[in-house]
Formats: sequence, C-alpha cells, structure tokens
Amino acid sequence: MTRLKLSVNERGLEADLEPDQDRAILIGSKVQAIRIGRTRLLTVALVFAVSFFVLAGRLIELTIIREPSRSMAFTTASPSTYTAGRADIVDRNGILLATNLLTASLYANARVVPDPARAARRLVTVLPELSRSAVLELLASGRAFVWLKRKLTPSQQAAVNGLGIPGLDFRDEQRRLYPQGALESHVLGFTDVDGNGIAGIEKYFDQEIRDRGPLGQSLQLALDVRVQHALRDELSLAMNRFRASGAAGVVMDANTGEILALTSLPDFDPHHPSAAPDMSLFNRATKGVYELGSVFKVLTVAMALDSGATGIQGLYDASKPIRSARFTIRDSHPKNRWLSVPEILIYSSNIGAAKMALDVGRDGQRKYLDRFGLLGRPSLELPEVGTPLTPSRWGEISTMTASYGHGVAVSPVQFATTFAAMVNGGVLLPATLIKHKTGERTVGVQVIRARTSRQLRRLLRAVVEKGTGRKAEAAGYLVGGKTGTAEKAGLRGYRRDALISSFVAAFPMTAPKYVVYVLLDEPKGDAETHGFAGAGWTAAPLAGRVISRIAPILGVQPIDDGAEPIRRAMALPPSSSVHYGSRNVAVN
Amino acid sequence: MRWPVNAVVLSLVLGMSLGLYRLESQVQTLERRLSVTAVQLEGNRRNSRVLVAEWSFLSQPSRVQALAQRHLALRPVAPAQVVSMASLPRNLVGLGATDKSPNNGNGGETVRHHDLERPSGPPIPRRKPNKPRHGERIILASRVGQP
Repeated sequence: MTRLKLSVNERGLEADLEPDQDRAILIGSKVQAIRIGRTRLLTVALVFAVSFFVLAGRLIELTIIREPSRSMAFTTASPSTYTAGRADIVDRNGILLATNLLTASLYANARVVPDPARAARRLVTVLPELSRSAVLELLASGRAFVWLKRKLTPSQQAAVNGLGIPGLDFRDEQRRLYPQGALESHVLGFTDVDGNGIAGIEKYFDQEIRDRGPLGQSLQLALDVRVQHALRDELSLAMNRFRASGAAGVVMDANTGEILALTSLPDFDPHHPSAAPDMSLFNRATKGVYELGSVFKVLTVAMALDSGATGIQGLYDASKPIRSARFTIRDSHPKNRWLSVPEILIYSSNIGAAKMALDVGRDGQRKYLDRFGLLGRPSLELPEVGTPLTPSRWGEISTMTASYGHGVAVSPVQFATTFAAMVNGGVLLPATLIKHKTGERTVGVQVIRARTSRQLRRLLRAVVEKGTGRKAEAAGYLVGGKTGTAEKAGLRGYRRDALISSFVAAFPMTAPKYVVYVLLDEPKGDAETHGFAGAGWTAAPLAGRVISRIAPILGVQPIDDGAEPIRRAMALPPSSSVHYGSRNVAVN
Repeated sequence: MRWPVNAVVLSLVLGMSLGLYRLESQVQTLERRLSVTAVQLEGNRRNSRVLVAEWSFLSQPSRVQALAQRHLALRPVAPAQVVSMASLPRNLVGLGATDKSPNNGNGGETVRHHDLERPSGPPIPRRKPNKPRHGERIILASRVGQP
C-alpha cells in the first residue's frame, strides 16, 4: 500500500533512479523524499489555511460586523463633485447668504484645435468679451491646457458647445455666489477666483469655511436679512436725501451682543469687488474710526453718576463758554444758565459735559473709557476692524473735549457695543457676528452699576421725549437715545461744513432689547430741515424710521407710551437747586 | 462508498457555483443601480443647491418690498395693530367657532378666532392696491404656459 502511494506521489523521483541501484538505498532516498514532500505540503497547506482564515475573517467583518449605513460601496461609488470648496453662509433664520455652485469653465487643448484662427474668430462671436487676438495667441500656443474663460453662464456654455470646435472642453468649477447681492457685502466680504477668502467673514473664517466644505454644516451668522434690509434701505434713502458721502448703521441685541444688522454705504457687488470704487470697499461701520461727538456725553454722564462724582440732581454752570489756551467750548443750543444733569443730556450741553468730566477727573475718565472697551481694538469676527485713536497727551483739555466726543475716535460698531452696556444693566458684552447657540450664556463684564444703567435709561428716554432727539420717536416702542454731531477734522482745525451726524438709540427703554446706531458722513441740510445737517435733523429721524420698521420684525411688543405705569417708570426725579458735586472750573 | 461522497461534493460545488453566480450577477445589477442612483443623487444635489440659491435670490427683501409696493396694499405694521392675547376682552368666550385645546396660547381658555373686533386705537389707514400699469400682466406661477 505504501509503495503504491510512493510510486504515485514520487513518480518523477523514481524515474530518475538508476534501475540497478540497491533497493535499500532506493527505499532510503524515497523515505527522505517523502519527508521533504510532506513538510512542503504542510507549509503550503498552512499558508493557504491562514490566507483563507484571513479572507473569511474579512468577509465576516464586511458583511456582519460593519454597519450598513457606513457602507464602503456607497461612499466610493457616489461621484461627488462638491468634494472640496467653501461651506455655505446663512443668516440667523437660515436664509442663504453665500453658497458654492458648480459652473463650467472653458479650456482648450491647443494641440488638438485644427484651425486656431478660425476657432478664435468663431469663439469671440459667442463670447464677445474675449479679445480675438488673445484667444488666437492661446489657441496657437501649442500647449495641452489653456484656460479660455472661467465660470461661464449656462447659456454661454450652450453657445460654445453649439460651435462644435474640437479641442475645446469644459471643466466644472465652483463659483462663490451671494444670492442677496450687495445687502451684506461688508459683512460677508468676498473671495477670489480660486475660492480664497479676501475680505470680511470669508477671510476671517477662511480656514473653517474650507474645512467644513460645500456639503458640510453651514456657518450661521447673527445677521437677520430682514433687519439688514430695513437698515440699509433707510440708510440709503437718508444718504441720498441729505447728499451724504457715506452712511453706516448697526443693530445689536443689547443683551447678547449679537449684531443683527451691519451696513456701510456705499457698498459693493461681492461678485465683482474689483469693479467697485475704492471707497465702496471701506467698511465705515467697523474699520472707520470717527470722532462721534455728543453721543459720548452718555458715557460722560454714566461715569459721573457711577463714580459718584455727581448725582442725577447735580447742577452745572453752563451760563458762559469755557475758554482755555486755544479753545473755546461753547454750546450749540445755549441756555446760558445752570443746567441739571438731565438737562445737560437733553440740551446736549458741551460746557456741562466738560465740567462733569473734570469732576470725574482725567484718570477716572481714562479708566472708565478703558473699561468700556473704547481705548483698545475691539474684538469682532472681521479682519476690517479699526483701532481707536486717542489723544497722545491726555491733559485737562483732552478730558474736556473727550467728554463730548472730540479727540477720541472710535468705530460705530465699537460705540454701539459700549452703548449696549450703558442700557442693558451695565454689562459689557463682546460684539459678535456669529449667532449664539440656543441656551448659550454670554459672559460679560459689569462696567457700570445696574442702578446707573437704570438712571441712564430714564435720561435717554427724556432726550427723545423732550430733547434734541425728538425726531427719533417711534410711537409704541419707547425709544431712548442721544444725538451726536461732530465736525470732521480738516487740515486747519475742525470744518464746520463737514459733519458726522449720528444717533444712538435703544428700545424699549423699560428693558432695552435692541440698540440701533446710525451715522451719516457729511450730510447736507435741505429745505425741510431748514438747512441744518445736525444729528437732530438728519440722524434722529432716520433712527426713528429704522426702529419703527424693525421692531415688528423683531417681535417687540408695542406699548402705550402714554400709559401711567410707563410714564412713572420713565420719570426723572424732580429737579432741585442743590449744588451737587459740581465745582468751579478755572481753565485759563 | 466513494461515489456517493463524490456526488454530494460535486452537487455541492455545482450548487455553490450557481449560487455564487447568481449572487455575483445580483451584486452587479445592484452596483449598476447604485451608480445610477449616485449620479441622480449628485444631479439632484446640484439642482437643489441651485434652487436654494435661487429662492434666496428671489426672496431678497428689496425685491419683495418692490413687488409688494407695486401690487399689494400692505403697509408696515402699526403699533395699534399688535395686541397681546391677554389684552383681549374676555367676553368673547363661547361665541361661534371656539378653540378649546389647551395649546391655544391662552392657557386653555377658549378664545374665538374669527370676527374679532379690532381693539380701540388710532384708525389704520387703508389704501387701494395699485392697478397694474398698462401692458403689465401678473402671471401666477401655476398658470404659466396657459393662455
């Protein structure tokens, strides 16, 4: 039996053996051969067994262990053309603000184009914006790949296809599209042809927008397109009416710091930023820093009340202008008498504010302004953020001029952020363009006492009720605010004909929800304003119109501002003749 | 002894080959369907992105405002037009169609929805809709293509 097997298994070996060799040797060599054969067989079998086990294991893993939802076949089989690119940007309600769409780009393989001259001639008939000589040069270059035109419209693509020129082909490219056009151009910014963020949110969040990709989660901003449109619409109407060179506006949630609308006019088409005039690309709301004028008096009153330098019943002598070395500080609505703290704000008295600032003191004023976040670069999710300008030598005169908003220049959005803290209970919250997650708590810094903030609300309401801000009234929304008219600095001192007119407001004043700040750059008065271009005539009515438009959108419940409980809540303490905290000022 | 074993093995091999062949062809069919579906999915994804962008473009507030001013008598909401549920008079209960669900926003109290009298306040200005200008036609989306 064994021999038979041997002869079968080792036939080749047997044949090699000489027939007259000794049988014993034959058996010995055969046994050896069998051993070698067995070892080899075992090795091969082992290798096969291991391989099969590996395969079986892999099969079990693929079919049984792995979840069907994470199927490999699906991910490899879906030929996504949106593999890389930029994520969408949406507003707080999910309205699309920026997206990536695929568009065809035309290229040529110049080696294949049979008759470059004829091809160029025919191509410019359907793409007239191309120059024939340039196209001819490209087609005759002999290169295998030349771009002819990037990002064609579907009709252009169809027209080029219709020509049937060999060697021309399309490649899908992603194009950044801003469906809302110029509406948020200064916030969103724009990208270059290769999809790199160049300005605005697109630049600030460039890496994150790329990381998320076109199919990833979209970036949600705090903006609300409806509010943004109302603000932009009213600003551009006012800008045209008063022939202003520019305008800026901010609407902010007073209790979270979220920016609901931010506009700088003139703005630009984000699809063609290079076609816009230079000044259109300048963001006045965040990059521009201005001496904002009397709106600063709110801060002066805040620091005076908060530090205890004066009380709400304090009185200041505003009967005659303050004269110092080179300056004379006078009032634009002179009363020529002693004024109480509310009156200083209501009549916007420079003299009163200056004296109040002296009571706070230079160091006190600097400390407060620093605490209000007005002396450093503000934090905002934009690359275009202006750094405030402050006096190089902060003496007594600087203290006085800063009290009514001259000598310190800040951006509108920075001032709105501070103003929100003045009315929301004294908590300074960083301004943000990104929507807060639901339930997210915002951490702020208490910069003035809550009591001071409550006093300021009454004062600001009084300014609109009976002061310089009367035209900012929006019935039912209990507006409070302050006018600010500043002369722009020219080569030789301040120019009386070039103003920055602005109005800062909050509503409803019982518990302010939103802050609105509007600014007009160099407005000119018209017949209806009797030629005046000051904030009370230009910016205040603008703010009132903005508020009455956005309040219903934001779901603010209108209240009867004449009702007794509201009147009581907004009433100022009766004026008294007590001289409180004021001091005799001698500046000469 | 040997023959039945061979027969069983042979039939097993044949059966498994047949099974495997069918499985393979099924997989091929499924793969074809998968790739077709994937292509459709990609197409739909493209289209839906275009449509979302177009919706955002067409619903631009400035455009809606212009259209509303031309074709509708709507004006911005006046403060007198907004009232809270709590300020509505209570004697409306029990008249006509009522909502007795506990989720009607009024703590389960019955509130009549229709024919509410406007609370007192300044009169709301009325305005006639602007008539379409000469030669202008308003075409409803659902009627496009019909005479």
